[in-house]
Amino acid sequence: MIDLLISGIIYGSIITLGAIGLTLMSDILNFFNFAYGDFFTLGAFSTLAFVSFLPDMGVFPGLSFGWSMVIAISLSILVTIAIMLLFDFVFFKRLRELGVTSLFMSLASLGVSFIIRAVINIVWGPKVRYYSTAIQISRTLPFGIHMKPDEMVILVGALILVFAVFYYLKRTRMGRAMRAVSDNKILAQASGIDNRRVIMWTWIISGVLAAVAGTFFGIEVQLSPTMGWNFLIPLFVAVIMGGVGSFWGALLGGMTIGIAEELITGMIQNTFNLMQLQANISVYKPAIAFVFVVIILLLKPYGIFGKRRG
Amino acid sequence: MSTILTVERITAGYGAQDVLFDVSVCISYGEIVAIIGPNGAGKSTLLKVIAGIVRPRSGSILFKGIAVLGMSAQQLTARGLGWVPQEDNIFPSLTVRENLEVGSYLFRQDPRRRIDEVCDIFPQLRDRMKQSAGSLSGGQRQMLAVARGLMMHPDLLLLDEPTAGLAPNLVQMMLEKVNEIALRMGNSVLLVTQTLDALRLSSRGYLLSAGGIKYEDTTDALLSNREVRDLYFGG
Repeated sequence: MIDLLISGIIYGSIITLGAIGLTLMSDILNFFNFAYGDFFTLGAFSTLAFVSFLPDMGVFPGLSFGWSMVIAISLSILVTIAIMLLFDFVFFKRLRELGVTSLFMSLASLGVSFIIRAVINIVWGPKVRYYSTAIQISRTLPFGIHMKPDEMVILVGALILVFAVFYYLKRTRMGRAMRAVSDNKILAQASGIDNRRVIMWTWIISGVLAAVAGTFFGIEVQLSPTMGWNFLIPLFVAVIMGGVGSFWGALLGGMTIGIAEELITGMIQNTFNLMQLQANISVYKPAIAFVFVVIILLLKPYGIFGKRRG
Repeated sequence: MSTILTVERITAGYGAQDVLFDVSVCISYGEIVAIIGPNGAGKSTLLKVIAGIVRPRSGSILFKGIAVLGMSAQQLTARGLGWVPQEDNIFPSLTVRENLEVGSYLFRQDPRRRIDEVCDIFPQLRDRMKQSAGSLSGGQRQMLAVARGLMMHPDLLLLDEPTAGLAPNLVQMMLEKVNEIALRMGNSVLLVTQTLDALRLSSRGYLLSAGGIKYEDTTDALLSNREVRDLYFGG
């Protein structure tokens, strides 16, 4: 039980990173970006490319990676941001200027997602990949907790990033401007805020979160060209559950979905095993997310911390 | 007195529908001017056109002697124009302090002195700096909205029905504040209103009806005009 909970917290922390990026983007850019999952994949594969390209620098004690991974993630963040800004410049900015509706923006993002996935498939092929094939042994921590060293790094890294984004949004001038635009775009503009800069910074922050979340998922699970697309379901559920535009909502939604998926499927799997029934319950994880989103939409249509929209 | 704003023959609207037809308005430095008229006359649209929110189909606008038509709301704010809309005039998820800080977004220095200044005018805000703006009462929201509009020290403040929805005692207080702002900070104020008391605050007024200027006169003349009193202020 405790192992399932820990597994859920780690999975939830990765969902949370993506959900914060997606909720910021959905709120400020005013459309659901279906390509966000594929930017997550792009981040993960960019890290793989840099890890393969960089010379072997050894691994940190107990971990499956070393300095080359740290450098690769940093470079991957830059690449992901650059490609996101390029797509914004080529597609989304033009559509905004044409005044197209949120629905068409979302459909355009679907097209972008196909492009990114196709390119990743062409470059890396469809098969599953790993940053490291070394086997990691779980460490026993107090209270009977078992965790792999990589998982501790993921958890601490996600926590640091979540609080860094929170600090940025709460304490910096641009962060306040982003929250003001999220509240009221016209009044923000009339207060002297440049919406174009706010949009640019939204892509940048979302890009950082996508690249890091993608890489963390690659470290914890594996890499595949469809990883981000499959990850979209828990991301959207977390965003909808927490309320579009809510930072704390994305955090709560991400952690709830992560823990619920792991706990519920894990407990059902254990029950099946005890009854000696053959079934792989983990493939039904997305169903848990769907059940959650249906319940939330029925009870709180705007999400737990969501704003009523006109 | 020299003119701070000259609006010449503005025609504007939304989609294919025109709301304003050939509207001309001017306001001098330090002057308070009222725009009165019934609901749907186009008063708020006129302020939105001046603030750069709605782009007019024709006409011209001179602000401090410079043609500003086509400039964005952001550029106009940088040039000294403040706009306080009637609705959606605060950032509800931000605290009171953050609202004021966003109000001084283009002023890149520490805004504490300016926050102190606006709190001298609206002392009720001083104790609520950490409170979420969305949790303020109607009167407090209006005070915050006007205070936010003052943070950039605008030369011209556009106030859209600052007393709408306020209790009678708060209406009087808000009007006194508007007067205080004009006297103390030297702002010109273009005030959209439907109340007699607010009109009395102004030196001149325009009566806007069905998208056109019907009367333009001194406040005293407008107040003594029976048609104005009967039709728009209930006699």
